Amino acid sequence: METIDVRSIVLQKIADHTSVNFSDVSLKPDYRITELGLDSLSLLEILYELEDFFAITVESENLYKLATVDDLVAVVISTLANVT
Amino acid sequence: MNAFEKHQLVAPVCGSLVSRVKELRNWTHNLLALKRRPLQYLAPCSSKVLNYGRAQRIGSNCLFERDSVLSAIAFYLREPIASTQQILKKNVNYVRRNEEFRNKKQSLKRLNSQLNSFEFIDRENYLQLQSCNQSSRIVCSFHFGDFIYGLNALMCLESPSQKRIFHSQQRASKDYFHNIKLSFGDRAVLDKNQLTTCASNVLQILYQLRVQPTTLVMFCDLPGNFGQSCEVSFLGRKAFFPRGVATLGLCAQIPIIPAISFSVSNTNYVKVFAPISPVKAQDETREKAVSRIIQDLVCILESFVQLFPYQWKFLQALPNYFYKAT
Repeated sequence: METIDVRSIVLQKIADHTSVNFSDVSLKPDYRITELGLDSLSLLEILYELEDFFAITVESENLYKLATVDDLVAVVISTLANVT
Repeated sequence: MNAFEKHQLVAPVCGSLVSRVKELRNWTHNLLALKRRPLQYLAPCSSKVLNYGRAQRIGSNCLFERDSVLSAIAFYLREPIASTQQILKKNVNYVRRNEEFRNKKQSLKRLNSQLNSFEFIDRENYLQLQSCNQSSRIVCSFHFGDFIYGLNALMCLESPSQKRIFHSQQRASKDYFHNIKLSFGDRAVLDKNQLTTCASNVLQILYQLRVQPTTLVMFCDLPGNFGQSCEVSFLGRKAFFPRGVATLGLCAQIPIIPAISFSVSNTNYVKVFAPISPVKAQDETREKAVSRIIQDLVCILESFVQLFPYQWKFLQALPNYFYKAT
């Protein structure tokens, strides 16, 4: 799957949990997830939805890396790469 | 700890929610006979909400607030005001007595006496359930009865290879751990096993559940201002309960085992229910799966609140459950 697709899906899932309109916001790569008003439970829900959507299970070690939006995108991409 | 080994613990039903609730109702119906035994005398209360004399001294606003809370609780419990007031008085004393017991240093004699007051029902079933599933699991409980000693006793039944984590509202005091250590010895769940709601990250918990067989003890009956909630039916009305337990269970794909501690006369009981499946049904959304799981849990709480309302720690916060926190 193309990187751009994964990113847009991740952003869509984040947008579902926040009031952020990503079309109005230029997201920097190091934009922290907590800055979007998400708590850890919301992040868990997003992670669950992404795992469910892509039929993957994120490596446990990667759970500690999920600080920014791009971390989340990178973790999903690397998990997908390992699956395929 | 050994006092528990001769007792039994419950794991009654497997199958659909309807059958579980039906069995639970039959079971609680049988308990009514026990409930009719005279209850232990409880001292007069000193709560701000309930102390009429103090409220009068404070002023009419406080009195009005007290009456509003009382009326609201009576409304939700479907009880007359007078009997609700009695229930609340009993509740204040019951909760205070339990908290004083666990947060003040107790002698070994008193602790042993407390432990001896516990009865496990169907203990063998719970042990069998453990042997069938040696991976991680969530024991989901309620702030009901003597939940601390009940759950600690339950955790003593876990195999030594299983890591145990207690997820609680706030860090417990030194005296609390002194009592727990004295009561349960080497099998005690101490401060290193404790995670607090505000200091813990759910992803860290998920990591722990995925990397090592862990039994996580969580509560699902905190009032609305504790985290995000989902809508369920409670006492015949639309209510809101925290959804963290269900989300974690779904995401970690581990069973959620409901457990409750309650007391009848001078005996404390620990009851464990059949595990709730963490698997999302086909075509079921995450929100619906979370609501279904929380509803299963709330059905259990509801049955016990109807039977022994005074044993629920958050009875005085009951009206808060019917409004979504903003």
